[in-house]
Amino acid sequence: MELFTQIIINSLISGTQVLLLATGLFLVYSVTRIMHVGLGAVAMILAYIVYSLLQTDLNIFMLFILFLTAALILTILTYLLLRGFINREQNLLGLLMSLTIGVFFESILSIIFGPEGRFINLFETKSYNFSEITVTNVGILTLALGICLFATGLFILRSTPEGRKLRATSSNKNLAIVLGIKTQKVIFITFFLATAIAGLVGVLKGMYTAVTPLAGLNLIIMSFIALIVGGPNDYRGTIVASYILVLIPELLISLSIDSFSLSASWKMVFVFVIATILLTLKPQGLFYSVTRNT
Amino acid sequence: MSYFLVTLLAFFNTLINCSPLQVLVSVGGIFFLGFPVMAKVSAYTVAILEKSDFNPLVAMLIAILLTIIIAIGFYYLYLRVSNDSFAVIGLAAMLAVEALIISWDDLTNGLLGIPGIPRPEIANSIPSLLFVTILFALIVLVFEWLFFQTKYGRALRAMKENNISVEALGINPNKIILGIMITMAVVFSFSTSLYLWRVQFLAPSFAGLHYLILLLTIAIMAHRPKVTLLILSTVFVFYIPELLRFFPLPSAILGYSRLVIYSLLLIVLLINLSPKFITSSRKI
Amino acid sequence: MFNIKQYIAIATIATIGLSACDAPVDNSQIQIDSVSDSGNQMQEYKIGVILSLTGDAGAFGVETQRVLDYEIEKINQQYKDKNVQFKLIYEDGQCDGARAVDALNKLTDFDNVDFILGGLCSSESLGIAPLLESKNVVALSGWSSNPELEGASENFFSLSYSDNGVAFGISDYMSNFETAALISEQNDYNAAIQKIVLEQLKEDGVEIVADEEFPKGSTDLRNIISKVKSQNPDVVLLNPNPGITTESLAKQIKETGDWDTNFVTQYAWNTETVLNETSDYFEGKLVQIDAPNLSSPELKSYMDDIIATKGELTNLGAYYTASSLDALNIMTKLIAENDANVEAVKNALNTQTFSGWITDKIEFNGNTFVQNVGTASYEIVNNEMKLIES
Repeated sequence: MELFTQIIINSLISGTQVLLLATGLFLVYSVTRIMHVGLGAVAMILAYIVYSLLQTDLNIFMLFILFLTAALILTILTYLLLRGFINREQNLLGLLMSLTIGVFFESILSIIFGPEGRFINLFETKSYNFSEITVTNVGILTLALGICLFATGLFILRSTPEGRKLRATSSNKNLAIVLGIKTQKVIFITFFLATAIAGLVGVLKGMYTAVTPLAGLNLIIMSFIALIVGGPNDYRGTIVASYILVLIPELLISLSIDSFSLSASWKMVFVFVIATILLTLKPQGLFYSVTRNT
Repeated sequence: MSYFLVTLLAFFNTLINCSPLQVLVSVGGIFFLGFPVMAKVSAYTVAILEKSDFNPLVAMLIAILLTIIIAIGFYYLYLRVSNDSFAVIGLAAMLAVEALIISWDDLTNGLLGIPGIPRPEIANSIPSLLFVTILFALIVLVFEWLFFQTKYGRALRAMKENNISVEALGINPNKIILGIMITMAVVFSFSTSLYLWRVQFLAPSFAGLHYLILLLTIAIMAHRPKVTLLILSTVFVFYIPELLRFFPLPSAILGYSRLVIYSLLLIVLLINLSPKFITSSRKI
Repeated sequence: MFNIKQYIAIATIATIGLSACDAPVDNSQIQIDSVSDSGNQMQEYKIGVILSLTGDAGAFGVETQRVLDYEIEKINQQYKDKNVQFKLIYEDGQCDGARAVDALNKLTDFDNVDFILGGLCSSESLGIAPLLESKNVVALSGWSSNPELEGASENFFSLSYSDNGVAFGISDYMSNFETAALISEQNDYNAAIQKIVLEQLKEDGVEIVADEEFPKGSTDLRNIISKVKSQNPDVVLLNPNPGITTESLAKQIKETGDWDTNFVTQYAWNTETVLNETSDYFEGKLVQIDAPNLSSPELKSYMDDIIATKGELTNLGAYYTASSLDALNIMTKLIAENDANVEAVKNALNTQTFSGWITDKIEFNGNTFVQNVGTASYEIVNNEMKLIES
């Protein structure tokens, strides 16, 4: 029972990281229809920037400002490179450009920092043990930040003018333009939000485990799969899919024992099987249902 | 001169692989990411059978049959799911097969790979292997060119614009896709065998994420149904990193520097590409 | 002036043209223009080096290159009076057999080298070994340790102790307990140790309660640790690759709090970061099985010099620093003595005894792996690994 609870807790934390990055992907996809897979590399760049800044004696406020500044610069760079493909609705080429940007960023990181991994020590990691169950302060922070971000995000999307503009742009860009919404501005702000969230994921990952220059691609793959399985047009699906794709394989592997014991390398096999089953049963997304229009 | 021959071999191998991918991904607009699965399964089949003293050509034939079965499996998945979902299934399949190969070490020798793969008589030296590879590449390219001239090639282009109209004209687009995927299976099996006979070593990392990105890049850059564009794309993407070998870069950053320069060139090229690439949504 | 397609055409024609060019001469000795102090022409010998400079073992490869670059400067200084110089040509094997084969082809066919230092990873060496005889090339690796390399080629030698030695040492220690668990990274080095330890423990009647593997480079190992801990093993083999994986594993085990078990590991644990951050947890609980005689002050001082001039050696450790130095020194010595004759160098490797940092008696005696290198047990005392038993 304790092992089961521990796996659930660990998987919730990992699943929240996957979901946060999938949220960035979702935001960009919803307004541009482009899968911005370069977000993985962006997450790593921002994590390494935070790592470098932590080597100086900056206070947390300055660190945050500089983090946002770096996120803004990266946003401008990626947005300018992807803008042409967004306007021409060239989704595949946009994906390729995003991938190439990711490769470029990862290579730059490898040159500057070398291939070694880094731990981000924003504060001292403490672990709390309850019987045989262990939780770290970083894990709790990840869960708390995840919940806050989702709640804030849902509130902004549903109850603020900016949120309505984003939903309008996502739903029908041309109509949004006709209605006077500055869609380019909305897209840029969405890019910035996605970049900042990706950076947050990078920092959390560096605190919870470690970051390496090439970790971005592996990070984004799970989020990409979660987004598609959940349905790229329904955020609820993304939330559920993120946790299902992390939790079920981890449970199957961790609770398998004796001659049926499976190693952690089987994780992607289970992810594939689950993704295939869900996509076959619910190809439009987990929460998609056919409705009759009157 | 041997080094030149070996890189030429690798180039034609890449060109062969990209041909069916250009047809399916670029022209057909079907974002299929499962082709590394075909390459991996085919490679391990050939390697395991050859190490069990099967004739190399027989091993290749068995690999072709097995890969065709996988292609048919992917085809049925394609019928059931949307384009984006199909992409994800392909990607997840690739990662799953990679994990399976490493874990199933009784059969695949796991992480250590399979060394010392023998060459067949007809290709037991680099020059003869190059001759066979170039011959096969010519066959594939001619076949692709002919395909684009037929009604099926035109139907494939039309499918990307409007699937329903194609069906209304009495052409079954799904059968075309099935044909392309089976052809892809055959082509990948053959080219994988050629690769194994060149390197004579099969690592578990073969046909991984970087392989997928490389081939996809070439296929997407060759975004129109022209064989010459495919050749140009392959030359550009394949040979630019080779050109960078001659730059006096420090060894420690050599590999990454090449990637930086290569990705920058790719970015410039993508920005300059003429946009005639319209995707359409496919209703299921 | 030109459009994009014409630029592409020009660039690619230039590339193909350049790659088709042969090297200026057809042997591994070239006469360079510089004249030595004595007025004679300097003779330069080229040595190809296949290392993992990028990819998962990139950190290891980059540090190895630092050691080799440091040492080759000293060697060239020593040989200057004899009008002999050595040049290292690096190629990236990417810890992959197929890439290593491409690297070998490039070094032998384009750079015309007859002598190779490498591969670094066992998978690189496994890839190149079958090709060495047909190419008439001798390879000496300071680092590849997989037992499958034994007898893989008459032209391949390794200064690394075979994983057999470490694995038998580990299994001897673990056989003192009733139940055991293994946590291994999926890497060729770790897989070899895991396989031998499992076989030996089964023979010795030790119950294996968990045998967990994780993908190469993974850093989130909490679930694996929890799973193993729940099985209550008497002893746990910690078998990661050195670097970030070991650091992650060490930290995450420490997070779990009290764990009434014994730990055993290989050389991966002996890095500054791991010892500084987790020694308080593992002191008294962890035993490391590694090569002996490598805590000498002379080697430590030498390593400090390398670190000061070339950069950190946090992943490489003492043994592989020593083996890197010895590999280069032995190779350059034999090339100079035998005037770069491949057969003579190969025979010398098979028959002679060399003195180096690893041991005073480096001998192959017709084997692939260096003989006379046993293992020793170490434990953590005051943030350092101290020898218990050799």
